Amino acid sequence: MRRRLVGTAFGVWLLVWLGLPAIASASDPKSKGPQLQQGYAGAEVCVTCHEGFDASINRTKHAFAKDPRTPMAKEGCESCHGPGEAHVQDPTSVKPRMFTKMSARDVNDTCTTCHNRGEHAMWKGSQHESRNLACTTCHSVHQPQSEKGFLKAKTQILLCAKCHVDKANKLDRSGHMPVREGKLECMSCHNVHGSKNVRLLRAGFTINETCTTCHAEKRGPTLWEHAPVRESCVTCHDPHGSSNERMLVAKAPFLCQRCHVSTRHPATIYDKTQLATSNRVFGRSCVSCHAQIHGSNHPSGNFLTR
Amino acid sequence: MTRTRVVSFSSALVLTCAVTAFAQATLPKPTDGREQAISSLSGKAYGNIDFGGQFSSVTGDSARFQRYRDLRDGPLADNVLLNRRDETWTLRAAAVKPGYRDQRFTADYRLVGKVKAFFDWNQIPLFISSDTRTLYSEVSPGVFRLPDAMQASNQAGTTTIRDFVGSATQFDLRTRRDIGQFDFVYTANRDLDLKFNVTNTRRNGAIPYGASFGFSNDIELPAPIDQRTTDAKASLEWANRDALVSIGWDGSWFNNNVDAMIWDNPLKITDSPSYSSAYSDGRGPAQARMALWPDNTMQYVHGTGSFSTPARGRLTAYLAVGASKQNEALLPHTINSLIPVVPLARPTAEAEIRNTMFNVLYVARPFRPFMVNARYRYNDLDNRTPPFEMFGRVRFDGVLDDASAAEPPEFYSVKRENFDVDGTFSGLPFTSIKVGYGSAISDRTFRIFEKTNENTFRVSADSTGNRYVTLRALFENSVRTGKALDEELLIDIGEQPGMRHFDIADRDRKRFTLIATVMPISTLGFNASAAVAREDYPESEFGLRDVDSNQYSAGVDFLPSDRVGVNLTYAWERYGTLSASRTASPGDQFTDPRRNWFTDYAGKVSNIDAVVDLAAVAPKTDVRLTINWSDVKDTYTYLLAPQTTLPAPSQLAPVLNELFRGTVDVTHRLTNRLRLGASYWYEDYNTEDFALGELTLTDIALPAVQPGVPVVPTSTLLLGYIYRPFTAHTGIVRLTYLW
Repeated sequence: MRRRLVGTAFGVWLLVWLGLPAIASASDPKSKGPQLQQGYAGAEVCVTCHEGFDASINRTKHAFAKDPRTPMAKEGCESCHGPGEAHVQDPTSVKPRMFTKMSARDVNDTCTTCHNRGEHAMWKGSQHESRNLACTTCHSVHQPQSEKGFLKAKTQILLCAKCHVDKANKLDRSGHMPVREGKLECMSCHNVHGSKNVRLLRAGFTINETCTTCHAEKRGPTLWEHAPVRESCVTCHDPHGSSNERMLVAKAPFLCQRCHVSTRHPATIYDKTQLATSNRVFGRSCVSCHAQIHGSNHPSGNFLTR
Repeated sequence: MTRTRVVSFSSALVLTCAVTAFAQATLPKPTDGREQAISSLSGKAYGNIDFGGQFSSVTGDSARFQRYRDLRDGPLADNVLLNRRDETWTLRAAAVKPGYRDQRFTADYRLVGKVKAFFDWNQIPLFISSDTRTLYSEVSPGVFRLPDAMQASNQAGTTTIRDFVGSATQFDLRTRRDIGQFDFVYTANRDLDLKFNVTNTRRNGAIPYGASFGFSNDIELPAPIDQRTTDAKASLEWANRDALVSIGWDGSWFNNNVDAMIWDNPLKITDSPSYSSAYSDGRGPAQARMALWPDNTMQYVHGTGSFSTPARGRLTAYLAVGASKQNEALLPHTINSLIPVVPLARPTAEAEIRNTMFNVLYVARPFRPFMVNARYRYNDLDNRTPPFEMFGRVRFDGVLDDASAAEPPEFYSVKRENFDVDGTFSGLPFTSIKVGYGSAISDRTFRIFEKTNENTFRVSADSTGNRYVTLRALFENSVRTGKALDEELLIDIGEQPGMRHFDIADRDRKRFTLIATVMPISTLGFNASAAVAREDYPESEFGLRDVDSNQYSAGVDFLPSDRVGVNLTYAWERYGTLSASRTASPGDQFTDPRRNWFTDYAGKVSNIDAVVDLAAVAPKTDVRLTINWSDVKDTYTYLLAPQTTLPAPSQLAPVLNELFRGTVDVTHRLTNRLRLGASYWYEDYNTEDFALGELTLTDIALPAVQPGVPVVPTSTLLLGYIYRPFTAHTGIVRLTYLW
């Protein structure tokens, strides 16, 4: 039985491996390649001087001439760098479009000519665009440091930390999400190219909707709700990391006492003398009893204890 | 002599700079067959695989050391990559740590210009504790039982929980997420995409959870996690250079296979009838029952339209309409057989929130150096759950309240409107100056402020694109005010009327950030940042009153050659909050300011990150060294009011968290196809935590016996989940084969 399974798996793998090129060639759009317009020199001419750039572009999706959305399906290098015939004739005084010397606005206008859908559909007017960031602030098409995304740093964390060092540092706290372990990335939660949500969050329309894409059990709605939970998860949690259990922004009971000042136990000083005897300060503190702090579906769950 | 050194050093830097500048005109050409395969669309397969092993030695908390990783000793076949690309199709398949709990597999197929298909299988383990012990047995999912003899003798008073602790069994407390994701995009033509995505997340294991019988009878259990979330998305997107239109549907289904948790009372073998103090003096039920996370669904339909407008503008609008629903069967009010049945208003929750989201964004550049950007967001979370009449309730399965004492649930709704407008002037070289205003209006139900309005003014200056200097500065001033204050809501639940919930309270906030990067030469860069924020809650007599934070960092990047790279960053942060409270019983105490007290929190954080890359430090050998140090000290200090009548508090010890990680990674190229690598990781974590540390949680049965202190009856039974230090050494050896 096991041998049969292994055999079947190998057969499927072989079929896929051998069959995909056949499928691909069957649906080949038979592109004739770019038709050069007046003033354009052609990619072949560019790489006679700019050695190695053909190899660097071939590593990327930009190189697929048979995809009509790529630069290579249009004017090649000149799709992004502008017509180069004049530059070929006078390399010293006529310069093509050089992204390192262009304003952020002009760089972005060039890239968004094509990158205007999907992930990038809301770039215009986004927080990063309006702070004068260019696509080339974070990306390098020809000399990327990362394995994916053409990033100018080896990982997203290293890249984002160039401006958001406080957030990156929080990933080192004892309570953190699995970002530094490589299981999540900054872009798992954020779409840095623009978003319909606040704080460039990727999913949903509120902070909570982003959080509940993974923590769906807390989505509710439940019979008994805890108002600040419905309002925003970050009222109590710091998603980038914290030294407190469950990434709380402050330690319980102090966090809870920021809102609960009613008579008896919420408004009591839990000091060192009570440390050994009071479960309101040791261990899980308030949530020892109020365990269903995110909301309860128990008919007697009004104090979030059931 | 010194002058000569300076001149020599400067000359070397200038030369290095010149070499780098020259290098920008050309890029290295592929040197061997594999590099050529990567840098061409030849259809040649290439890839790599590591064979080796990993070995760890841990002293202390081995669970926290591993946390989201699986670092068990064993052989490795890691970083498996299979890649093939030609002009018409590509395939990339990869595997990371196959066979381990944190394994991951991905496959990416593209039929150029037609189809993109992506599959990802990602396992995320969470190792919570290996210290955990319990007296309970889980006889079926979510049902925890104790030996009857223990309950009987504890009830009779002949034993206490402490007498049975020796028979607690150890178990590893962990969960794991298995996430399967499939994305498919079909490109019908140059402008039209059909997209489909399905993600299935299975989560299994257990987490520490409070399961209390009341104040003096507190239990901690490994709450079972057996959940599945399925998300599906489908959309159609048409876009060209001037316009975009998309329509789509998103659906999400959460399913929890364990609906309730039932557990025995270690102090009781028989139920007791309702008694006013049952939950605080141990005269409660023999068992309890809690509702766990209910199944729920969420669905949306949405559409986006985006169009180019005159004045180099763009208008984008987004509309989504959807609902979240939950209709789980409701449990009875109690499992206590001696408490009369309290009728339920209905058998299922019938909970529903309808959500409407509308977003309009307009960007225009009427003149080249000027951009205007306006955005309006509308989000309505309309809770449509029908009223739930209460005919009574049962607290902690021990105390019956009649209908007059049982307030019905309040189903929160919130409607938010945000309007932001920014004007950006970028007439200066490489620089833009932005001035903006934002208004955030929230309209809520069942909260002390039914409405809040926050006005924000901001100004920022960003100088980017200059190769020598980058400067970013932002100042923001926000004022939030609440309207329609309902102090009765506070008084009804015994809260101080001067208390304000800080998430909606009146607030003045000022924030300033500055980031500067200076690169005098292309091989050397300095960076520094500062962020200062102040929040005041001027109308909050009680609750959170102010928050402040100060963050500073400085770093240097030094890349003297292609072979050497050094990066060093130091960051220092300080956080502070002040909150106010009053210890008071109803009556005179309730209004006595001498019973006020305050919690003054101070958090200090230091971070050091250092990376040294040394390529070809020895023949065919690369070395990478990293150091990462994070040191956090949190102090909570109690302060008392002048002329206080409260006893002087004994201050709690600071909470300390320090993590040091140092790694060395060496790679030696044996041949063009073969590399030998070795890594060593040193990790040292130190912690002192007054609530969760070893000095406080000395046993699973608490309060513990303390020398010289009269024995307090043990009534708390925990799991032994604590914060404790670890020191770990990890070695990884690998032989990498590349083809």
